[in-house]
Amino acid sequence: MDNGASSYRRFRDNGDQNALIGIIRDYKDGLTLYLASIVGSIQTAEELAEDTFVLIGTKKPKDKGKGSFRTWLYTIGRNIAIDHLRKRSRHIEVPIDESDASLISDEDIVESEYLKKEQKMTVHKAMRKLSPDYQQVLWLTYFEDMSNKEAAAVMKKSVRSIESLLYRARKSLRSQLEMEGFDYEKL
Amino acid sequence: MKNYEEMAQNVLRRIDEYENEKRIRRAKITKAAASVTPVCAAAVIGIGLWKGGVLTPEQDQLISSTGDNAAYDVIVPEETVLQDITDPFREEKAYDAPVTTTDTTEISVSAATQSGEEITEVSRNDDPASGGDIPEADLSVPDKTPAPRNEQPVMTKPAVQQTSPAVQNTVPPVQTAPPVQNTEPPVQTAPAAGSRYMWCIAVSSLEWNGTVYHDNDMAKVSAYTQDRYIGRVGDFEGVYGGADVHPSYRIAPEDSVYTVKGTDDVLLVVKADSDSPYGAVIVMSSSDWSLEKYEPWRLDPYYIDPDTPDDPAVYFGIAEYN
Repeated sequence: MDNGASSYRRFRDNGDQNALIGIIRDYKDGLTLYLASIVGSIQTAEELAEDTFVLIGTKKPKDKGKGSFRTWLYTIGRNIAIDHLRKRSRHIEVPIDESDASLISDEDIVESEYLKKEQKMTVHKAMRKLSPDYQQVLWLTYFEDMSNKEAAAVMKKSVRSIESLLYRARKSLRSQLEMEGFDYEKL
Repeated sequence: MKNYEEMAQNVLRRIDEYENEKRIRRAKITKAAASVTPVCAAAVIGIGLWKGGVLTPEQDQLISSTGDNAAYDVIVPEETVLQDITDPFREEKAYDAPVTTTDTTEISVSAATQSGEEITEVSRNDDPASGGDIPEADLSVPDKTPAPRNEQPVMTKPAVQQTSPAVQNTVPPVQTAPPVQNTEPPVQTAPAAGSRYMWCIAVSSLEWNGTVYHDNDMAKVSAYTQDRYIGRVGDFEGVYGGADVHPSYRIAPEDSVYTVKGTDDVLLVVKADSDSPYGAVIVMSSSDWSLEKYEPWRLDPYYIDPDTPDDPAVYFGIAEYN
């Protein structure tokens, strides 16, 4: 397993669509949930994840090999999400109260599929109440098991900023979990 | 929520749509380029020609004016010109002629000898803006074969030089036969003995009896009578050369020096080498010599030098340089 780099190379160089399908299979859920931590909506995050795969399928950007393929893919997804937030800020935002309840149930399904363990689900739900930056850094480090350096690359921050952000996010998450009566030892 | 297969299908479909759009766009661009490229190429070529001066009106005008000049190059026998100049009645007719010309018209009369016949060439150079209305057919020469010309300013006899602006209008165009091409190349020969027009680069001098004599290419040898031998050039002080010293000096140490009868202002140096390009005899004169004093008849404008050949080109040595 080379984190999808060889699959992407096969798709880009030989046009192997199965390789792209494999990448989508491996990274769809993680990327969607990560992007959800940015845009705050799992449906939007899913669309943005799809946009991310379409972008690498049409433009076929070259992976410079500076980091892992996952880091590179998440960076592209993050840029797309930020662009989306910029565009959305120019339009009238729909209050979250008016969102469809069925969409929330979809999000729950994704969470349950991806976050196998109940603890992780609880932590993820607690994370949803934190600020986007805290959500991102916690997601990347705890759920995607990225190093601080990789998380810094995805979030376009320095390693020291990530460390500081992670410290504050962890503290905030702990207090949030304590408020909900859950004590997560790992934190 | 989509599973990965649905998302993969969506992604692949969108990729196909993107590729199709890209293909259609490329086809449109190719079509547009195919239709626009010849127009652009034609425009570039046209601009290139225009900027290059091929299509500019000035160039056209230049070409046409050049053509006019060529058309106005009329070669007429010199006799006709002389007759027109000297005949006052013809001049009156010339002023009455309906043809209008401008005063800026230039006439140059040149002479050349071709096949033993002396002809005069009248060339006309009209300013196109001045509106010379002479019909081209009247003055054009059908045969444009260029006759060999002497580009140097040509001196002709005084009567020929007295021309008036109206003369050109009365000169009937004469269609001359094409000039006979001299198939034999001109033979480069050394100046004939006694020729006065061989250039001498360095000035020679002699000192005799306290008087300095310089070589004089204006004085005619025939105007002086050789008197007595006074020595060789090498016996005198002065500036002279010789073939082994400097060939540009007209006198050499081995040449003989003679006085002339009637004056001490002139000495004659007889060249030891009778085939010298400077002539057989060199006239040396003191500072008291002048043309007015010793050869006043040559100042007469109607004086004709008997030694001058009929052909001015040969007279001036021009033919040797063509």
